[in-house]
Amino acid sequence: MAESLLPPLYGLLARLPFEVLQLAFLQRAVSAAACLAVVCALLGVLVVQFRMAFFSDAVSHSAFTGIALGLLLGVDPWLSVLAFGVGIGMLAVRLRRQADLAMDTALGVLFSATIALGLAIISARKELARVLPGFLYGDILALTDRDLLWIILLTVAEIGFLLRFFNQLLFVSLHDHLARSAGVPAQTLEMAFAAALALLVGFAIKIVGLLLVTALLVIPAATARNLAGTIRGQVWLSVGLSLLATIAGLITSLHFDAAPGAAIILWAAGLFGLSLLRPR
Amino acid sequence: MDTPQGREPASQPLPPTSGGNDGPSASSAPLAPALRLQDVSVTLGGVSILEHVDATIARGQTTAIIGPNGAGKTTLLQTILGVLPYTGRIEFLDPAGRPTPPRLGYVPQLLNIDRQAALSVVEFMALDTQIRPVWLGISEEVRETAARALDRLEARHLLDRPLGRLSGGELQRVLLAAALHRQPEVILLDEPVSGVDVAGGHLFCDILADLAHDRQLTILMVSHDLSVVTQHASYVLCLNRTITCQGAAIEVLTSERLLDLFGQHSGLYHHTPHRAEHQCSHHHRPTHPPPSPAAHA
Repeated sequence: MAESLLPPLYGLLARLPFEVLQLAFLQRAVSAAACLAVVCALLGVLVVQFRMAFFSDAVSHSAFTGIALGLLLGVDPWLSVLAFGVGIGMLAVRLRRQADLAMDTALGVLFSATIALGLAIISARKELARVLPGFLYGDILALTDRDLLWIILLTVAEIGFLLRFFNQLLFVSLHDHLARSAGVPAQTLEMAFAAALALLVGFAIKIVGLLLVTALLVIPAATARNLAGTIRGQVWLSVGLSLLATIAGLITSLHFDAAPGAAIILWAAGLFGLSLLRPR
Repeated sequence: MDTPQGREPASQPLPPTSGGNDGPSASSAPLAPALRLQDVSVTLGGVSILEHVDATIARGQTTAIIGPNGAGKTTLLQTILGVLPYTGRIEFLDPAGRPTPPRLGYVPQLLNIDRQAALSVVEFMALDTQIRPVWLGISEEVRETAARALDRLEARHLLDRPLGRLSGGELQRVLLAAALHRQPEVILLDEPVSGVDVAGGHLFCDILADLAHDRQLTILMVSHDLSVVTQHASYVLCLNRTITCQGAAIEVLTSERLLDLFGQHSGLYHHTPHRAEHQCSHHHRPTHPPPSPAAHA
C-alpha cells in the first residue's frame, strides 16, 4: 500500500529537465539522498552544537560489527547495523554519565572494541568480506523501493521529533544546568537525541558510506554556522548547502564514475572552504 | 596586620535588599525563610564535596556564599538548583512556612555559556517559551514578551543581536531577563560579576537591587569577589565544604573571619571597594563615575 506513494514522486522527478532522472534507479537515489540531506542538515546543527561528531563516528564505525553480527545470525545486515548502532549509541551516553568519563574517552574505548570485534569476525569468515564495499562506499545507486520507503518514514519521524524538541535540545546544548533549571528534561532528551542520531547515521551509511557519514552531518551545519548569525539562518543555510552538495555530488559522480558518497562530501567540503573566505 | 581598607561600615550603607529587617514587613508577622537546607551532603565521583551543610536563606534578602576555591560554592548552588544528587533536605518555603515547589531563576557563570553558537538574543529567549522550532519563526507574542523582559533591564535594543557579539555585561542582563521571565521567587547567581565590564557590573547590580526590593526576590549568590559581597549582600554564608560561619555581612566580613576562611592569602581576594573592578553601590551610586581612589582618601 505504501508503495503507491512512490509512482507520483517518480513522475514528478521525471518531469524535471534532467535526462538522467528518467532512470528509475536515479529517481530513487535522488529522492533518498534529498530526504537524508535535509535530515542530516537539521540534526547536524545540533551535532555541531553538542560537539557530537565523534559520537557519530563511533556509531557509524560500529557498523562493521553490525554487519558481522547480522550475517552470523542470519539477519538482514542493514537491520543489524541499525539495531547495533542505536545500542552502541545508548550505551555510550549511559557510560559517560555513569562512569563520569569524558564522552570522548568513553566512546574511544567502546569504539575501538567494537571495530576490533567486527574486523575479527569478518576476517575469520572470508565470505563476509564481499558485502563490505556497500557499507564502505554507500549503496545509493542500488536502492530498492522498500529502502526508499524506509528512508521517507525515517525522514518524517526525525522531522517530527525535531519539530517538538529542537528548542529544548538547543537549550540543553547551550547550558545543561540552565535548561534543567527551566524544567527541560535534559537527560531524557539527550538520550532520545542520541537514539535519533544513531538511527539517522545507520540510514545515512546507505548514501555516503560509513567512513563519511559524520562529514554529511557536520560539514553543512558547520558551513552554515560560519555564515549565519541566527539559528534560523544557520538551519536553512545548512539545509540548502546539504541539498546542493548532495545533488551536485550525485551528478558529478555519474560524470566521473566515482563513488557518489565521496563526491557529495567533496562538494560539501568545497562549500565549507568557500565559507571561510567570508570577511569577519 | 593589614586592615582591609575598603570596609568603612559608617559610609557603607546596608544594601536596600535588606527590606525584610525593618520597614513595612516589621509590623506584620515575620516572613518564613525562602529556603532551608538541612544536613546536605554531596559526593561526586567518590569525592566528598559538601558535608552536613545547614543553612537558612532569608526571604527577600541577598545572601552571599563565600569561600576559597574548591570550597564547594558552585556545587552548593547546583545542588539547590536540583541538578546534582545529594543527601539531606532542601526545602523551599512559602511565606507562611509551608513547603512549596521551587520557583527558581538561575544566572550561570558567563564563561560556561557557549557563545560560539549562531543564535540571536530573541531566539535564545524563545527556546524556553515556544515549542515551535525557532527556525520556523518566532511568534509575535513570544517576541513581545521577550522584548518586555529585556526592557526592564535596559536591554531591549539587544533583541536581534547575535549572542556571540554581546559584551559580558549585556549577556548577563539577557540571562537575568530570561531568568526573571519565569517569575521566580529565588534567584541563584553564580559569580555574577566575573567577565563583566565595570559599567555593566554597576548596571547589573543596580537593576538587581531594585528588582529584589520591588518584588521581594530572594537572591542567593556565589562570589569570590568580596567587594561585591561587602556592598551587595546583607547576609553571608562562609563555606568550606561545610558552613564555617554565617551572619550579617558586616559582622562576618571581619579580617579574622576571612583569614580563617581563606587562609593567609585573603588579602588577594579582598579588593578595596574604590579600586574594585565591580562595585554595587546601589542607589547611593553617584550619577557620575566615582573619582579616582586618591581623591576619595
